[in-house]
Amino acid sequence: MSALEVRNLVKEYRLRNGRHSSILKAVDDVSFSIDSGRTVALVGQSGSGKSTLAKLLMQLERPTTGSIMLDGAPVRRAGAGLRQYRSDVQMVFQDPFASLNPYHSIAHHLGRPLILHGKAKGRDEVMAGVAKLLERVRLDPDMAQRKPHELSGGQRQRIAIARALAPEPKILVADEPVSMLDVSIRLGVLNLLADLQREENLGVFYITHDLATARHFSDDILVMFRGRIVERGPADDVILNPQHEYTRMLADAAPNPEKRLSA
Amino acid sequence: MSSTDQGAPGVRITDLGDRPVSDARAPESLSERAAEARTHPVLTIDDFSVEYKGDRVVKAVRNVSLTLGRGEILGLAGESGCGKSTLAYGINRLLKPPAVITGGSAHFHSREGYVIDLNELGGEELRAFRWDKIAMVFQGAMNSLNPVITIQRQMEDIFSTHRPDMSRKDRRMRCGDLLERVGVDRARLRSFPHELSGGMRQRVMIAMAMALDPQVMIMDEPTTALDVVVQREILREITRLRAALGFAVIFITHDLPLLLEISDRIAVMREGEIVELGDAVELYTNPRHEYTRKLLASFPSLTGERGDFIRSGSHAQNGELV
Repeated sequence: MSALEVRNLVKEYRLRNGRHSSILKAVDDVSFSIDSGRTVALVGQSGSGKSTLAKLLMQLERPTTGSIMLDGAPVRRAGAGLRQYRSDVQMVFQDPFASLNPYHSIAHHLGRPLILHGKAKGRDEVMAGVAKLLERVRLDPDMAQRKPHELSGGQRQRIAIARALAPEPKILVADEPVSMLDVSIRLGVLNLLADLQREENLGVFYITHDLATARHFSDDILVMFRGRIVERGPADDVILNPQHEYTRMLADAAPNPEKRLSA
Repeated sequence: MSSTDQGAPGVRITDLGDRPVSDARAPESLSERAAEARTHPVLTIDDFSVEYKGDRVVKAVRNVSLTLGRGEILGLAGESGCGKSTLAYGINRLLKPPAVITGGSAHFHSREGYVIDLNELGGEELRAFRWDKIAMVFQGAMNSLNPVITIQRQMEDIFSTHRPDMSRKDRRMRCGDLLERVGVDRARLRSFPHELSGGMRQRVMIAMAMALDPQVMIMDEPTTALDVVVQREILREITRLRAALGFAVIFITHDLPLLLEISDRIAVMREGEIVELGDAVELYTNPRHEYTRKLLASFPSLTGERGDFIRSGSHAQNGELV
């Protein structure tokens, strides 16, 4: 059982405005953990600090204070330790139209992480690995030779997920993985993530502003407001019985046809 | 012009609502508003078709017939590429080659009693008609403001073009009034677009669309780029203004739950065709077309049963229902 643990994480940005400067706490004293085999959703409005938190988890930004630990060991900021962390914690980005390189084939996108993280050597092994990754995200292995522009949004996002799976991560950070996709294929992609989480015992950190999918696809929900976690708990409790005023406001704001029927 | 602020059009709606519904064919299940759409239309679209005549001809809109009632909010739902934006652009005659209107007609029924055939308009008439009778809030409206001139200059443009007789002082007044109507401080007139938040920019776009007191507003994904809280504020604003001013709205989005909440009727579009059109509540509780059902099933319910599908759905596939 592995876990990603975050303790008292703070990220401050210095804002300069002429001669004045002030400090913005984008992430303010945040603590939580993601266990393998569980999905934790992070919900909040734009600007609440969700993506900054994702960047901190991915070591794309350095925290001002606080620590991130994987399986009890603090994360290294450089060298082999960082490389190991990068293969253990992977990310799926929001926009599959921007996160795949239009010049490269799907085989290239999936083969490179296999090589870089030492999961496959030599052409045959890499191609076999690529085929297996495509299978894991329920895509036809023939797709390897195609270029991103030949694929639909949903297929592209499946490629992005396959790429994240290539280094055999323990934790998957998914930042709004379906918000750019057509509505009828969103559930398919979310179901895929749920299946992978179950089959491979992945820990999934699902960042979204969509409370409905957060509720259905996660075990626990964290609600973020102005850099702080204002409410946390089992998914159903947080959505159906919100305690914090901000969570209630978020839940009220979400479109809900049931409201009209009961009115 | 500023006299239209006083909400006189709102009175007209209630007047129309009191008239008996004469169309006997109207199914009983449709709401009063749906019936009203038949008897008091503001826009009728008949057998409307649009093709993109490229290397490969694409029929983007196929024989669409729609009636928009006075003061009605009609939701137009569908996924990307289904032709919903093309239809909206076609109605407003905004299509550019290779898109061509290949058949059908669109008529605008003014509250003053005359009818305009939109396909017949050309040149100056068309320019005068647009924005004055049918205004549009464009997709990605947040980015459709000119970044290098102030809000005031962009808004005044509308009046100097459509109401050339208006004095400069009146124009200024009116622009400030419009901003206040959508809940933006009139001091913002001096701002540049980048100084406003996304929600405020969207409000400015709505204020601009309302400037000439149009009878129809076409809103193409007006809240898609906004987060849920700001989206909620904008939706409240739209329904409030609709009630006060009496314009009809064609609201285009892929977000079916949102439409179910705010629209009177909903048309579901797929591959250029309207596959189902009906009263919003009826469509939600008793969808007839398979595609409508599929679309509805794409949105997990926020407060409904958790067991509906998804996690349980994929469990069921593995034969281990939870």
